[in-house]
Amino acid sequence: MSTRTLVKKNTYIDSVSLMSISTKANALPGVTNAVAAMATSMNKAILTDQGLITAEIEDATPGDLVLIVVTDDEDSGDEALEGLVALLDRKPAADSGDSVSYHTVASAAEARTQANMAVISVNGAFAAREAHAALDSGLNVMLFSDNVALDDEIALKKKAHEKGLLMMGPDCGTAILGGVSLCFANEVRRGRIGIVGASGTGSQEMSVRIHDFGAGVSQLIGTGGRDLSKEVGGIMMLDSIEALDADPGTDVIVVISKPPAAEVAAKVLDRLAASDKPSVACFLGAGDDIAAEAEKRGIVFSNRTKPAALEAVKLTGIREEDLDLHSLNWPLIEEVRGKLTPEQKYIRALYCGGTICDEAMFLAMEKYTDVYSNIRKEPEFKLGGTDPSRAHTFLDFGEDEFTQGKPHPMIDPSNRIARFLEEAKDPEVGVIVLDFVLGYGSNPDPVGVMMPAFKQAKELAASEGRHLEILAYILGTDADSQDLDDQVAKLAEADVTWASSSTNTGLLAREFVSKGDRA
Amino acid sequence: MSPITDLFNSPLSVINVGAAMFAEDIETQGAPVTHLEWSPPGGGRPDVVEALTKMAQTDVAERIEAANKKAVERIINSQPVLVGFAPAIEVVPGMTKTTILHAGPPIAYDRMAGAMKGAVTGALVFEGLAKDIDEADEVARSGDITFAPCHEHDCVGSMAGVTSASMFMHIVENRPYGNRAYTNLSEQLAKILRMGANDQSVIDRLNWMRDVLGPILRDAMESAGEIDLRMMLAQGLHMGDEAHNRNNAGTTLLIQALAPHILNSSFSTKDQQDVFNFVKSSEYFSGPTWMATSKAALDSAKGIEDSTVVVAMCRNGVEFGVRVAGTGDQWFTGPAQFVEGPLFAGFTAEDKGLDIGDSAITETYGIGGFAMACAPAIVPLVGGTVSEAIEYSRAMMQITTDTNPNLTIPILGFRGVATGIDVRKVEETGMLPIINTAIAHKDAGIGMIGAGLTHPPLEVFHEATLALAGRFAQ
Amino acid sequence: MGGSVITTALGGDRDVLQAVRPGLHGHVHSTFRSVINVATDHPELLSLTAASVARAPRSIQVCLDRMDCHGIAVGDDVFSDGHTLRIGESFVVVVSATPVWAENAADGEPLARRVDALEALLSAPEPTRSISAFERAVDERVQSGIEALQSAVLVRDEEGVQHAVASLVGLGTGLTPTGDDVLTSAAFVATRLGEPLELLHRGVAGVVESGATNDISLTAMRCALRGRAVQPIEDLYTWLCGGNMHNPHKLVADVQAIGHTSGADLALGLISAVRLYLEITRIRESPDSRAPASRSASLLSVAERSSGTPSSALLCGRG
Repeated sequence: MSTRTLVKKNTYIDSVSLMSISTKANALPGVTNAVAAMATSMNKAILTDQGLITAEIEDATPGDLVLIVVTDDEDSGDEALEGLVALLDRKPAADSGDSVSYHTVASAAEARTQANMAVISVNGAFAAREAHAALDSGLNVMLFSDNVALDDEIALKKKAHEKGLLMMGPDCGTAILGGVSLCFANEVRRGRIGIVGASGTGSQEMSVRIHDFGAGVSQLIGTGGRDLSKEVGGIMMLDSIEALDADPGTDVIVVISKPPAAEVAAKVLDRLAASDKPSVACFLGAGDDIAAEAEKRGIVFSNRTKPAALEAVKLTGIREEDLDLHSLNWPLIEEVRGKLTPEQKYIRALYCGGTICDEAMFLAMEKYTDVYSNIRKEPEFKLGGTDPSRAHTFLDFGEDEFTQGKPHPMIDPSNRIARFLEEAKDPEVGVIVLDFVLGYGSNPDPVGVMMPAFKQAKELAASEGRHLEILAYILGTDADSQDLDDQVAKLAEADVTWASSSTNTGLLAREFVSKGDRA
Repeated sequence: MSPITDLFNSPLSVINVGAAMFAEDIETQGAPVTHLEWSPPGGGRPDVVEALTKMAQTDVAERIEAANKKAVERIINSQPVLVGFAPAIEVVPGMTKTTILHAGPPIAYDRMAGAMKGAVTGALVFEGLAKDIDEADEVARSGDITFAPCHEHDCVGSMAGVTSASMFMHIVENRPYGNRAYTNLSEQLAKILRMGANDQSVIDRLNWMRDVLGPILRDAMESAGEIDLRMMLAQGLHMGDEAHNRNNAGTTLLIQALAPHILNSSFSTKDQQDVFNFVKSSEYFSGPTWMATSKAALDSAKGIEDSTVVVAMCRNGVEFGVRVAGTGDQWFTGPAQFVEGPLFAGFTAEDKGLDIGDSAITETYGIGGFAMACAPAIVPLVGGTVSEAIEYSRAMMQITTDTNPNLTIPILGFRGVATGIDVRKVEETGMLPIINTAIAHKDAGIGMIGAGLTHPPLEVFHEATLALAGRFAQ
Repeated sequence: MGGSVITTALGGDRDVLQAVRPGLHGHVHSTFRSVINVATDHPELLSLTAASVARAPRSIQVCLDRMDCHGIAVGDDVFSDGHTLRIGESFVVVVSATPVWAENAADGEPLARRVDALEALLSAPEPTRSISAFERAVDERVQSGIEALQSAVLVRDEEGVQHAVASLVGLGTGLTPTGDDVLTSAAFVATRLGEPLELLHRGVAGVVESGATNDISLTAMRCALRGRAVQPIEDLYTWLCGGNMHNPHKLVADVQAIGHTSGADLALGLISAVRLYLEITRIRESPDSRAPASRSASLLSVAERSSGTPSSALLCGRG
């Protein structure tokens, strides 16, 4: 039997609380007697009778708190006293906390002990700070914010790497973790294919294709658009591949991005090759050199999303012959070619989704040289936000030059509608391409808000005696809240052609306006 | 196994910072999500954010944490004890016959708010330094009078807080640390000097307080020896007071403790009765007592190097002033705010004066507005709901350092009051300390026209943050 | 923060609490140790009473034991917005969420045996004391006024009623003179019982219209003319009608505690009116509707018993 005593000077605790503490203390393991009482003369007399009095307790005053634990064996004494002291610490339990509001990541993380992810979308000036706070609190991070400095991104990803946490972003708009869609993402079937994407709509497209081909997604991790740059070096891409490699729920790994810097591409491909799990690499707009590097390592490669998705799905055991591959509709292409005049030779693509704009643009660039865009790096082909369209023009309305002061086009379509009406007037336009993104975060009725503009444009063209070809792509699944069937029906009502995938959209657009050749 | 893989196999539980729609979509999918009430740190000011970042560097942060721990330990271990009453000239450090102390940060006479000027001139007449109010105004401007904040002389004063040589003061001693704090006596009812009234009835009452009330209380305390104010305060909080605007229990406990000793004094039965009736006429009698208690505890943390803990919040009706442990005697000031709350019938917003008084020392200590959960009955007076009152006591934990186990809040499971306002946390969270206080009429002498809630201006914390960060320049 | 008395309202009459909600402006009419009366647009005064004062129509009880030590003066402005009621600059009552007093709905008729019992309780022996000649003269006039009133009502003599009422108005000492209190409670009974005492009701209504006495009595009479009286009187009346809710000794004690002599005077008026009613109904129901002389005699003797000789005037708790 052993006794431990502690006198806390100048600590006043009311009698109700003391009773509660004593009761709990007596229930601690190994405790035969526990006392928590103020050192009044009455209490000292009782302790004397119980043989628990010490000189220290005698000297204590009525404003001092006396703590005593008696345990049945010597060893548990210290622990029991610690347990009693811990009962004095009355932090409110992390309960439902509905009524409590938190103002900092740190305070929320401390109270919500089950939290494992921070989703951050504040102004870029403050975003890095919040992300650091989240990582310091042990949370994985999805950083939706953009305009975050490169140095901050590198520092954050290094910290995350050291802590073994996810640092998705900055500028990461899409993720699906544990079946929960975050920010802009679609409702897709849960399955065995893990996706790591350095591009938002690219990841969305990949997940939607996989769903359409009958397979499902285990996890979809976003790395942010800059992860595969030379400076960042693919830190998150590599950590994500490693995580999917170790994930018992993932059988196939798919990586999607715009072409990485050469040395980063090599690292990524090496890491995929080192995994036992089959993988597919999809680098949009990649040339034969990267394709060769992939093939060298035995990694399935495509620079188009639909074939990449198909390959991934086949790796899960689904047979190609059982699928509707939505092959390119050549009769349709012939028909549209027939309707267009020789003058109507240009593609005007007005996109919300950056990566799928890229894909369509790269497909056009395979056939044409005069392709201009606000997302082309070459100065001779680069367009600014106020430049008029030139020849084949592909515009990403989600880029800064268009979003200054306005919400993203997936939420606010007004910029794109205005440009669409402009393009519709141009007699050199052969096809106007538009994407409509469904799923979480997007407009509740993306096609619907465009309908008046469709009507207006078609009427104008008709009055001028020309056919206006509008080609639309709806990025979404039958499970998204926006009702895919209804969106398609609206397109039909407006006499708008619709494509079945991002890849097909690009192919159809370039073929519609092709003059004097056969595919 | 990579920790990220663990994430894959645990239920996702999210903290959302920024656009609320992302939190809504997560909730729709049935995953737990907490949406932060987020505002840019430092009020969005880059210089303040930089200062905060500097103070967050590991070595600096460690120094600050250690200093704050020490500061809060002192505040919590402080045991203010009432040891007597005596005229200011006898006990207040630096007091002279021509000194006039006032509430809030330093301010020159000609800039003072109307109520404070009224109180100053009234006090000068009371002290015999002027024969009437008009002459008092001249005397005040003459340069012969020394004006200073109560805080700079170990005192606190409620409302105008005007304190002069002949006024009897509570003498409060902080037991473990030995420092003392003082405050004058409540004038209780109707037209009073602390609201800026200065007619003959006010002077007469001040005379009676000097000649009868003060001496009786002094004699009573000589007989009583001392009264443990921290323990009495703790009991008051358990009885429904918050010890700033609601003092029913505290006043009852205080007069109960003094009663046998008042009866023991050699004054006439009539004088004793007058004293009892005086105390009975308003439950505010112990208000100043808890202010001095708070001041005594907080002063023990003054001057602790590297500490970002606030040791004083006060207002003079024109400016709000704050002092921080780690920046010594430096005042950080900003404009005094309006108090928001229900006005007594017949008054309108145009009648409102600006926030005034040293009584925010109670919130600085963790009582008053910080302990509103102890006093649901105050809600009809300050507005809002009982749930909101309770929530304030919880919310203040996000900008403080620790809780005080000696002053507990029953309805929050006897959790201690939130103690040690940390300037950094105010800047990080964007949450300002809540103060509940009286609303005074803007014209001198009319007095209380309502009660409600207010905050310090954020500027004072910006200035304090920059000053604190500046001290870590090495 | 000092400088204001802030108190809560413990409870109030329903009509009055409704009156203070939308907004009220008035001034202090009169101040007493336990009551502050406020004059507003409404013809009846509004009373703020200390906690110990009996509930009454037109009053709000506040959490104070005295009303006369807070610096309230006649003429002080009174404002209310439903949240607080403010008198002068520094006296504030929080009226929001004030409980409404339950109303007393006594139906039915007074029971003769209860009236007898009540008279017995009120006639309980008390130490005698000498009364002044003035008081004796008042007592005599009160008695004769009551008798005249009862007779006039019995024979349906409207002019007689008016004379009798006029002889009682303002008669006696006190804030609400004895005669006023008698008429107030008589009018209360008349209103409750309706047609049989209609003449009595009209008589008192005439007084009110002419404004022949002070505002406080007039307020009490107005309340009585709509069937309301101070709580102890209403409770006593309920008991007379067969209610079982109270111990009659306590009821009597509560009534006698009203004011200085008001309680006893109100009880006198109550019993006088109830006796009158019992007599009227007895006559109507009796097969022998003649012999008015004997009836009025019996009534007179009853009146004699209740108001009685100077010594029994004492026994009604006066002095």
